[in-house]
Amino acid sequence: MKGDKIIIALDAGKFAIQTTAVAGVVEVEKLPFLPGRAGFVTGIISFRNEPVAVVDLAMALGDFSPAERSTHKVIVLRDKGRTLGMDIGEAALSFLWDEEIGGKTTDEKGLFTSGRIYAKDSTIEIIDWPALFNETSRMLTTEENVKKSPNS
Amino acid sequence: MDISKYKGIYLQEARTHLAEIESGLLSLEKDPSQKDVLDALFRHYHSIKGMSASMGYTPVMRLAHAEEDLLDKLRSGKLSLNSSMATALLKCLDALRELTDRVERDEPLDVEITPLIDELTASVVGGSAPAATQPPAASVAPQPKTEALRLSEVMKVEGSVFDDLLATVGDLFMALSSFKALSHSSRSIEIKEGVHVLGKSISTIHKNILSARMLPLEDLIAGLPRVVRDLTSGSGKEVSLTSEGMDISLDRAILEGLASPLVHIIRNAVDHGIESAQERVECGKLSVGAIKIKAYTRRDRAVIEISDDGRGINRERLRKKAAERGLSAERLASMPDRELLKLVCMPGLSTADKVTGTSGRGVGMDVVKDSVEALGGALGIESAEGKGTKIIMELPRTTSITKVLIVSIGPEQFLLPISKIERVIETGKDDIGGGVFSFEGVQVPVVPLAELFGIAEKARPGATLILVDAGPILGAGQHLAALKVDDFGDEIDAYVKPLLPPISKLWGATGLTIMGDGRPVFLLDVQQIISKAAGA
Repeated sequence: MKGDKIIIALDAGKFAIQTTAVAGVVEVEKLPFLPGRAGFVTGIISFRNEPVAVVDLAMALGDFSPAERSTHKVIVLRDKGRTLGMDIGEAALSFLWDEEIGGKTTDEKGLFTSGRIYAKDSTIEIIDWPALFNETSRMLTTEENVKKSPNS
Repeated sequence: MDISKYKGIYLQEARTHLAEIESGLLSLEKDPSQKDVLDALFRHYHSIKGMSASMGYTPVMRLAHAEEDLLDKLRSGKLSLNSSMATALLKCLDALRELTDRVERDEPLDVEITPLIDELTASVVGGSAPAATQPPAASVAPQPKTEALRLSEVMKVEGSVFDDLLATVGDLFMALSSFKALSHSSRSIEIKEGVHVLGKSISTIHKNILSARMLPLEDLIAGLPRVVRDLTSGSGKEVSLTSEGMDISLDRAILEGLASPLVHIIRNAVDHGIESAQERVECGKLSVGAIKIKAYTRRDRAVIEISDDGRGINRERLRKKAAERGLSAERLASMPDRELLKLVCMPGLSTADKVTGTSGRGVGMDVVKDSVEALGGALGIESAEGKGTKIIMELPRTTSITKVLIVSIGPEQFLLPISKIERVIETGKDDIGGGVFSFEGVQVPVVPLAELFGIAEKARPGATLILVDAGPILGAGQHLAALKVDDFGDEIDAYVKPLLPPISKLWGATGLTIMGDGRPVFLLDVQQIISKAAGA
């Protein structure tokens, strides 16, 4: 879990993501429609002319009562051919050098988290975005059987 | 067979071989012991001989044959290259060049090549060539070397170059879309004019690239007679394969994607459709089974039908097998015939009595269906028991850039391929009853897109119906379906991107495009939507 991190301050706590996975941050007023969107999969945006499916991070972490948003701040994550947008609403973003993080890092896993950093003044959960990506794929494939066969 | 269309390829290949021959002969003259050069020269002459024979260029074939003979003797060690042989071979090479130039200019190949062959023979025995008894109809004088440096007008280009070019044109279309959006809000005539010219130029480039990628269906099916022969060999079956409309051209990528489904369909027909010769005679059919591949165009799409005159699909057995795989009896009983037949595409389902070395394991028709749909096409099946089965594939002829109509459902926009649209109709609220709309005396099923996508419709007195070609989904005699939308907008050229994970298995969409303002908008999968609505 070494490396510089982007820190996201949600109501539910602080979350970290490796900066190496961050391709960019985009702000949009409204998320375009994504057919089959459900649960925490909320829409789609374009980033450098490529489509990016977007998930609501708060919802993915179990908070399904986010306030109505006037802005969607979307962190675009990209690695090994996978791309995913993580909507953090209007939450604050900060950057931490690896040396600044300090504290102890464990591999305690949670729902879409792969570790925990016990920093000096707070606890930071490390987001397992590949797991989020896989779950998003699964959710958007709920009608795959319709595509595979006419009899489902 | 019209072979003139292969002339360009012939010339390109022949000139490549001739260039290699020249280099090889010159190298061999310096060191006649080079076995690898001799082998390569032999192959080049052999290739030219074969190609020329196929194209009917007899003088080229004869001359290449004579040179091949000499090369064979040289490489087998029966002869050693001497200077008179090398000279004779180079003269013959010049004559081959002259002949290929005549092919290119569509001039008659009335060149007397016997003196050259005699000279070749004489060079072997060490004598001089006998004088020609008749003057040559045309001289085959060696070409000046400056002309020999002329480059071929036909270029050999990797297919991937065209893939990259097409992707680049796609990016250009997207950039154009942004410029169009800007020009709409601009008052500058120069900008509007510039965008117009840019659009025309990009369209021309696109058209030319697509044209370069198109190949006739006959290129794909050329190998099928051999497939049929191998499948029937030792099976007690005789099958004739005929085709019609194979001059229809499709994008290379679509043809490539069709190869495997086509072989599988033919294999199924031979293995399970066509009866043995004895069985056919017993039921009053000709002993030789027939498989026919027929292609035609419907608007800008290609329809390929593969029909056999075999035993057809046994519906009772199909129901039984489907029930074994978990489909309820009620569902099976209420299933329309067209849907029932499509059960053969259910993964793992096979109605075959026996498993052959090549089919009958229930693996395949599901892959065929997936492959056809992945190409943006649709699969239909018709079958009459005892009479045969017809598999219908309807496919786009080109890829990537598609003419589309923008439609609105509530606040959202979608794209519909123009090729599928028959008519756009504004209706009153009472024009749609019981889920159908009466159009020219035909009851057309109405597909409520807002409901299917879970979008709130706009409150308005009427509706906009997009009448689309439903392809083979609705069965024989019913080709139209009406997609209900709130409104429709511009017709645009959209660069349609494929759907990649995590949205690769999205229901109801086959791709998307990024609009000028950066919004991703989905291209609707008309076939899948109608299929679901019809099954609902």
